[in-house]
Amino acid sequence: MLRFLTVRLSLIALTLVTVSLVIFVITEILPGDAASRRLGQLATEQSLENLRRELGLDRPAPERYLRWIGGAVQGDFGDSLVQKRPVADIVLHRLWPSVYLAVFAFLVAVPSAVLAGIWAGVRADSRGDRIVSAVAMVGISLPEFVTGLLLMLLFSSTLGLLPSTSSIPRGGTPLTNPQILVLPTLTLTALLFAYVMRMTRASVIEVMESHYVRTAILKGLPMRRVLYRHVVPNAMLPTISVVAANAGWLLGGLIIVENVFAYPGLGQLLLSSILTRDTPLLQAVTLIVAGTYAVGNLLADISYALLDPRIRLT
Amino acid sequence: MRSQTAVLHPFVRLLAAALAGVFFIASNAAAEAGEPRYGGALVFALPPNSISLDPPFQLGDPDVFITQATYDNLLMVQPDLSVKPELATSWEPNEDLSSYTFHLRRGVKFHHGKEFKAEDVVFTFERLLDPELDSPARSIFEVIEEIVVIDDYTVRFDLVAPNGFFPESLSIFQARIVPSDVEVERLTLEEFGTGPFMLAEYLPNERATLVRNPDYWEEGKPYLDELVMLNISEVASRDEALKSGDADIVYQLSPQSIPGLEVHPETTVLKATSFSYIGLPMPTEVAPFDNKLVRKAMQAATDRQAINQAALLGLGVIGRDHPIHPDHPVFADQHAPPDYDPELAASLLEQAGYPDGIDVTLHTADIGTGTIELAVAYKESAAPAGIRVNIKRHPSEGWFDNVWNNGLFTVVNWFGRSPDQALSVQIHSDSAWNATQYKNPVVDELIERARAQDLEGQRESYGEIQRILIEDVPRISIAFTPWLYGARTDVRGVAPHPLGWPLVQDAWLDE
Repeated sequence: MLRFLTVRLSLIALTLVTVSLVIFVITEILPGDAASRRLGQLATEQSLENLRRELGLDRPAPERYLRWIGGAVQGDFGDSLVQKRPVADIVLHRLWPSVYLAVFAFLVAVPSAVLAGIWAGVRADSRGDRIVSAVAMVGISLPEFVTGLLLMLLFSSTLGLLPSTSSIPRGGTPLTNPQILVLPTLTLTALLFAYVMRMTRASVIEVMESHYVRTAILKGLPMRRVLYRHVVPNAMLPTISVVAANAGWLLGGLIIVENVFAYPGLGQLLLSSILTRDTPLLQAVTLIVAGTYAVGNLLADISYALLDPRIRLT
Repeated sequence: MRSQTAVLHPFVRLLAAALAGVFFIASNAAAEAGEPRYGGALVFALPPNSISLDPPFQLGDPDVFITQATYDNLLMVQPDLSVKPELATSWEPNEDLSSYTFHLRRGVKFHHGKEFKAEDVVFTFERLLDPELDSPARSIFEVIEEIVVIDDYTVRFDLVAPNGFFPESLSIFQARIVPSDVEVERLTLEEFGTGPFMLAEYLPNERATLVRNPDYWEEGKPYLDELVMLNISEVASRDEALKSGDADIVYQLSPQSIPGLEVHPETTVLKATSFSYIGLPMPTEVAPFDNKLVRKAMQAATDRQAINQAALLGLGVIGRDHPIHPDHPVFADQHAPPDYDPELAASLLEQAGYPDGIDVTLHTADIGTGTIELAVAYKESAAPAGIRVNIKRHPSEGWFDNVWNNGLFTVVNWFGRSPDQALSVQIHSDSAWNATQYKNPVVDELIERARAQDLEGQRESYGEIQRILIEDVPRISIAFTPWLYGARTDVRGVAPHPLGWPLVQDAWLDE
């Protein structure tokens, strides 16, 4: 287990370095930089040169990357090119709102999807199963910005029950203003629910057809006991990997949902750092996203091993 | 001391008289007069794109909006184009308009406590003129030769040449007055102004909360307790925020949003014309555009009405290949480009040596309302004349760096300016931003001459410039773009401004 963890953690570190290099190269290739973005239409060659010198953008690209990564491994992510203050301050301010939203979405989506999947899988091809599957299909087919706008149209503009903008009021947090979390959470749930539910349903159906379940039913065990002792634990295994993979989906969804609802999290920060070509800020946010994804997958593998005695991590 | 109106340049006075009332092509409740009510919070929804709050380095929304509310200029051009004194109470030029003396308002305090004095004016303009800082507004103020402090409340600007437009130029957003005792690094994320509102909380690209300045120099203003600038990146989300009441004003509406907001009972759309325009500058030193006959063919092949419809949903005011708006007192109605005539265009091309038509590449990007649609509609419009337009779309990032003003045939979306500033920046041979490469000493001389003329003389000079630009066609100007604001019906006192951002000290909320 220790060996496994060492290998995986070093692989994660390697992944993060590669990601940072890829992001850096992409921002180098894309037209425009923080200086041209800041000066806009009235930029002149002289003013661009002055600003690039001030921002350190006049140094060769490899030097800038090495300097940045040298700082990053020591925990110094540099200063934002636009806001001229430490990237860490900006990112930390935006990190917590995203964490709240992601956790809420997981807490709502995963249990409900697992329960719905079990319910539908046990009565496969019944009318109830078809309805649940159809609803999930709609959720999976609609992009987040459509779902978000539809929910906004219904619950804020028409019914006036919930705010359409999830801006955090001054001096508050998402926890003291839970109403702002409702619509973004529902939008993310629509995305997550379908994947997890369909996976659970499929594995429940498969397990239900296995010999040991048939034996358990034939030897007269109560259905409830068959489900909780034999079907669900075995059907959970593939679901866990889907949930872990969905951590990545969720992060992608966050970017869109946060922008649709103007929710001040990392996703919104990511977009604005791209628009202003704020490379240090962009790097920090991307590393958090990539790191979460990698750690999510690692946790899935570990829990897999813990749940299934046939798997040994080496 | 002479009275305020008497010291205004005669041009500005006439302009104000000519334009009062003309400018609002559609007015509504929000522009109506009434007894203003105090209190309340007004929420503006606008896209997140913060660059800097430091006045010389602002670029646009939402930064200019924040400094509009937190700083003052020496004077401010109003929505009806009259000029209102802010930190200067009055000013007078010398005989030949080459030197202006400004009398400063006494007893004004910056938000951090310092009293406003002549030293702050000097500090502000020294920063704007500093070649090391190189603000994008520096070229506008290079007309200043020297700033002389006469006493704490009197400043004289000596200019390099007579210029009747100098006072107006002081109202541009880069010329907000900053205090001389500030650490300049702090200006990026904080404000140190004298304006009607004070920045209470600033979360870049998220929200800015501004509270009423109780010591504002203008008696009884502002009316609102709080002003919130909420950043929402999605167009559709901004519209919904307005409909649901989470926002009171959506600034810079996309034309596509108009029908939905006009139907909704609690929202309305404010429209005003502006001096901003969309057009097609041609690089006059590059073949085939170096041939005037080709440019004239391109001009005759322009179906302005159809392009206005496609790019601006017909809300634009048709332009005449120069930057002067038809409502402007110096607009010369007698000079007009030919009506849309593909046959004329084809025969002009034949004369130019292209009997089989020509292929041109038009470069475009999403750099403002209608700039993509403009290119597509021009392609359609020019096709019957044998002008085969190949559209090349670029990302908006890097557009100003790599495409525009690089000897290519492009679209352009010029921010509204007075005739003098627009011509100086876009057409004068010495300008670094003359994307047409057009160099005409006669036009240059007329631009410079108009600065020292009275209105009659200016009409003559600008009339001649309009004739020459229509004849030489360095650019095709399609239409002046409208300012569009979505507003809740209880918003009052927010008048769209043809030169830019609305003034917020007059805003109030009705019951």
